[in-house]
Amino acid sequence: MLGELVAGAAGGLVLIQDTVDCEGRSLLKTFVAASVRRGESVHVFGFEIPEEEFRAGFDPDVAAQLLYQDGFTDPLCWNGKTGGFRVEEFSVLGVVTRLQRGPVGSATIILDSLSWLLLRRPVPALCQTLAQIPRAAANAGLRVTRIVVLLHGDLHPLGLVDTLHSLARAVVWVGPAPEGMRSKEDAHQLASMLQRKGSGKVVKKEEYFSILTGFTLKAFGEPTRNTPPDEDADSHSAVDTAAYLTFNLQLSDTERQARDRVPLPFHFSAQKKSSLLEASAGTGKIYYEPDATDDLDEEDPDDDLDV
Amino acid sequence: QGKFTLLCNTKTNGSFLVHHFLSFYLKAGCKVCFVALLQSFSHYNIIAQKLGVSLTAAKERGQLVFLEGLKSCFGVLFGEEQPGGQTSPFQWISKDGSNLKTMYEFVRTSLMPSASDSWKCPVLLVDELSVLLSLGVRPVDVLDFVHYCRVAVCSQLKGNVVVLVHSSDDSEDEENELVVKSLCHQSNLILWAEGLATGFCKDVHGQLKIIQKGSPKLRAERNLLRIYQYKIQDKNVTFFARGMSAAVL
Repeated sequence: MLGELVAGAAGGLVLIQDTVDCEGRSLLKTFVAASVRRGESVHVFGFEIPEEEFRAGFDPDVAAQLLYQDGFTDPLCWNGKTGGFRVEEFSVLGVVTRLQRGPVGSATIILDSLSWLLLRRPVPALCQTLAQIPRAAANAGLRVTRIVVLLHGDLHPLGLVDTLHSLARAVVWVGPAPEGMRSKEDAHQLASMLQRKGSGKVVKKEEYFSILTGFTLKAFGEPTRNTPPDEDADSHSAVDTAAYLTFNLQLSDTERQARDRVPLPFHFSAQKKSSLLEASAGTGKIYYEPDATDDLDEEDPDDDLDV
Repeated sequence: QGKFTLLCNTKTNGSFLVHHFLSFYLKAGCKVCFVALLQSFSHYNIIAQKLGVSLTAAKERGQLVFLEGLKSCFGVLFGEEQPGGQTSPFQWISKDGSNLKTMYEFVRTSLMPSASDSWKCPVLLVDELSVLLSLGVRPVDVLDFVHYCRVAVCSQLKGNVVVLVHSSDDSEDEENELVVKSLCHQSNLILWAEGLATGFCKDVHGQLKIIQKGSPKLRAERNLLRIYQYKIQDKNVTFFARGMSAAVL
């Protein structure tokens, strides 16, 4: 499923969420490379890393086609330089103006990163901007097919992150793969994906992946569920340990049949009932001589003896 | 070249890393701008002398630009006139809600290479960033300051930036944790000094976690993680693998 997402299966807002333990920028660059190879124009709004660092690692023909808006060098205008992308320019109008400088046709917008903007712009305005960009671009004659953003999940409160998830068509959580997978099959990272399709169906999946040189994706398939094999292993080991004892704990067939035939101690069968009743009649009569002081009354004072 | 190193300390004092980097870069012949917010100049000078570097001599020959936070803040708050009418780097301390632009400009002008300089790459050293939050600066302003320092020092001047922050695992200080996590995302190398989980020990002062992020070409390489324990002595620090302290073997 990750391969399909990278190949453009999801339109609208695609969110890549990473944490300090595992960065998601390389997956973002994989989306970029795939988009360029499909012939779309890719507009990158970069705030967190310098342009050279973002372009590093791409194939030269891919890097040459990126339309980079530099929000790293002077976003707050402290140096007074013009030409870069300032943080105030990130509005519907500002973004569409920059998009119009590129070729017409389908466009993909890449945002590196949304966390940077969320810390410096009011959140509702930012969410509205993201939602309105495709429509405003269509009015200006451009077609924005998808907006892929990088979000650092551990920098924001959970409520904000959940709100952004509800805005997105697809969310990819990136995390490190467990130790066993990393050494065995060279799968470095685990992606948990959620995609909302046009029909309203929600698809959730997990996949291991790693990213090769030139930012191409290599998917490894889903993690296997581990619990049923553990139960089988336990029962097998129980039978195996009985075979290695110095004394005999096993039963032969005749012994097993004899054991099954023995009645349980408190099992009330017809045989037991009759043996009890026979025992009560005949044996053990009680002879009692009342004393002079005894007041022997044959009647039942409580009227509860069922004789 | 052009690297951002984050020094982090949790439950212990990580300033030995700052002293190490200061003397290391001065001995290597780099021009150093040291924003010292935590201690006075004489404190750093005494320790640097034990490590073989004289800070006064470095200041005189122009290799070291020392911004002494303790003295300069005092000057701004009590209205002393600045020499030559310049704005102090700490001008923001007397205003509420202002950004750290003046401090950034001080850093930029002090590390800008002049014609007479023959130093190697410029280095910015900050000790420590959490103090700025205690002084009332908003976390976003601290992050903006670090951002612009990275722009100027790392990407334009190809120098290095080393920043010390304080953190704790179960901290209730959300602003500090926000700054620390943002810087973790941005840094190339993280040196995390932690106290031992089992408590204070005479022979092992703490544990150092070294996290090296992959190169930008293929960032998806695993972050290289190494953990060492250390003991701080008078003139140096000895590192050893976990559980291999000389006192135990």
